[in-house]
Amino acid sequence: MDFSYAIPGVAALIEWLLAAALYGLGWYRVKHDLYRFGDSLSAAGLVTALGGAVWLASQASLNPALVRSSLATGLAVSELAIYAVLARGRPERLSAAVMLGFAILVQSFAVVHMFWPGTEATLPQAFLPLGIALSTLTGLLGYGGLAVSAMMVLLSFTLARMRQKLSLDRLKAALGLRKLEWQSWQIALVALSTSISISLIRTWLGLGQVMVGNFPWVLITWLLLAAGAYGLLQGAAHSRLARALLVLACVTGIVSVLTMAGPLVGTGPLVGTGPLAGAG
Amino acid sequence: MNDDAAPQAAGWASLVDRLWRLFARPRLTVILLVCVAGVLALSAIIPQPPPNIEDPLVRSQWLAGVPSSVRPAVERLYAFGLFDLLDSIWLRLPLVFLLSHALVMLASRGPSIWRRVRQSPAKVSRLGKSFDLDLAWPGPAEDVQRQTTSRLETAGYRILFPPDDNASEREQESFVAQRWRWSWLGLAGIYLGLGLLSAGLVLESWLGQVQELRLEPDEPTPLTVSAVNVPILVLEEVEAQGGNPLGPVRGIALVRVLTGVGETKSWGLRLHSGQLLEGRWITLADLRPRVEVTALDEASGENVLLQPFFPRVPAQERVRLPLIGDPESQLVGVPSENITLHVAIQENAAGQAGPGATPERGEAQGEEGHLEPVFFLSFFRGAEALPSQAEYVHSGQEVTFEGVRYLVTFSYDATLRIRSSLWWIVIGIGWGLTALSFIALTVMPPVYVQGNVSPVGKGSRIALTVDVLGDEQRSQGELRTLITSEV
Repeated sequence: MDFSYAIPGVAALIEWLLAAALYGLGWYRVKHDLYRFGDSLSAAGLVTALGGAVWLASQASLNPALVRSSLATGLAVSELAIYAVLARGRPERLSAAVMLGFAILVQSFAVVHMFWPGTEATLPQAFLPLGIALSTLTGLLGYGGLAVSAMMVLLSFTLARMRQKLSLDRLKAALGLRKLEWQSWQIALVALSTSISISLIRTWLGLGQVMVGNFPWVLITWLLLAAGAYGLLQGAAHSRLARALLVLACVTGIVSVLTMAGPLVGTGPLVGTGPLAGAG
Repeated sequence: MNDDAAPQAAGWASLVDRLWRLFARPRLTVILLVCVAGVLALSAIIPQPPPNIEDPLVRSQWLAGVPSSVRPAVERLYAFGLFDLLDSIWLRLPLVFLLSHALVMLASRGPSIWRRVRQSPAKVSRLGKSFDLDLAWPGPAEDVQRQTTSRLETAGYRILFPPDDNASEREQESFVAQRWRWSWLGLAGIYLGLGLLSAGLVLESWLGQVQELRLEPDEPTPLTVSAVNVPILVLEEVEAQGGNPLGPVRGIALVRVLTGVGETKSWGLRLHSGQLLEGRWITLADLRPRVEVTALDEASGENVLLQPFFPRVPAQERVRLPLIGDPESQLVGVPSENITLHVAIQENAAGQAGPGATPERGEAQGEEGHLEPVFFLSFFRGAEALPSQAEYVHSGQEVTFEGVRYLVTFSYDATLRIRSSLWWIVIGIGWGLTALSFIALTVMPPVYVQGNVSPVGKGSRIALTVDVLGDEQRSQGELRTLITSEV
């Protein structure tokens, strides 16, 4: 294996340590009423996102094909960037810890995957490269938004369950989570709808069908997100069911990111002749 | 009409009414979207067979790949459509329900949406999530109303005062305020889009036909096999450019078409682009690299028969071997000579074809970027594991081994995907409308406020009935802050 691949990996680790240090600093300052906690968290999120983006760019320069580790990093980066923008100046730290934890988990997958021999093979060149770049970028933004939303749902649920055991300060933390959840799934719905539309045009023009590679998982994610979003917008479903659908959409979204590398590049396997296979 | 007819008619009316109410529930949208997602998830988890599974050869090949222990179960379950989910009742049924639901929703909600968009003063039914807000405010009702509407206007609401014939005698001031009122059309757009989408998908799978054709150079291939007098396609030439020989990124395939009435036409199909030809949507989906091998006995001057290892077909004078995929498919036997020949594209040829590529790297750059691959031929005697002879050759060059001249020629097969119907246009419009409507409702969630200001004691009472497509708690908080905050 080419050891130059290890350089961005080490850079990523340093970036995570820096983010953790900033997070710890923010925690300390809040405890001693020295500083507004949210600003430090935003800085931590943005620094982490920036580091991840640098890693992504350096990896892409070594291997221009899209590979799973770079897509996983893209997910971590977009999720942290969305959180950092939405949660700017927030005075609570639980959601930040959850988001950092999720990003570290995804990034760890990326780093481990990079050292996994044989999984980072060069893939065939893509047709309509502008289409693939746009749909991937907007798609990652959508999955990032979905991840933030799902984490906020899970955090709200956990806090509500632990109401008896938690202090008033902790419960207060849950107050702004609903707003974060709404804003992030709104970003997710807009970005994923755009991404799928670009992807549909691209694969239809290029292959004459759309159910290629991981597209079923992308579509499942969108359908679950749309069902959950419609339930919340219209009041058509119990809020718990609608939120469960958002969390489920996040899970299928992660599956679709991790199976993305194959179909996004090259012509991929041509599957199915059914209605969706022929459809837009 | 007999006596039994009236209760029967009432029974039918009651059934239709019940069905109408069932299909007019917004909850059904969520349920059906989840059902479609569930079927798609199953189709992604359960292995689905390749296209053209009706072909007995394709079917037997697919079944051969299934573990023998589960094969009987798979054959039994095949009849239930579990292995062709995207083209079965399992997907069509929720789509038909979705279509019916979309039509009923459009019929029941359409007029209310239109009245709301047109700002008709008539009372319209609830479309989103409703809540009531009661606020007390000092001052005469007229002033409070002026102040309230002014604040709403500043926040982007459009105010409408319903006409009041008895303005002088009225006891309360009424108004209607709307924000993003055009977004209510998004609600209708979702149902219109979902309706078109599901109708298109059902009709495409029912009436449409999709076919994958593999054209070999100079090999006449009928456009369809199920009809007579169909055009015959002949792949005349392929010009591939960019990328590498195994995966060109650009290219044009010249196809000669012999129509049923004896006319001849020529089509130029671009790689990865579709065209409407002869009422069909045709996409050149792929160019598959192949190497054609022929053998000639130097002594007799006759062709030597060649036997490909995979698929097992009778020995023939020329064989076309794939260059991607199973290495076993790149082996060819020469039964009369007891020789096995392995043809591979030279290692590294699958790499990037830069402008400085040399034959040593597996490919030569011909005129105007045309790619010429280099092959590596290995000859094995009998069951020997090591080759007796191995040579690099360019396309069109010959190699002689034990009195037999072998000629290898590089060419491409063209994979065409042909659609006989145009229902995909309906599907595309449906998707576009659904996606745009969801985006509109998300970015600009509409709010409808019906307000009454009435005098109570020395002050006034503001009663608001709000209908919103979005976060009602947030809207409630925003409206409360907007109206009651001190200036």
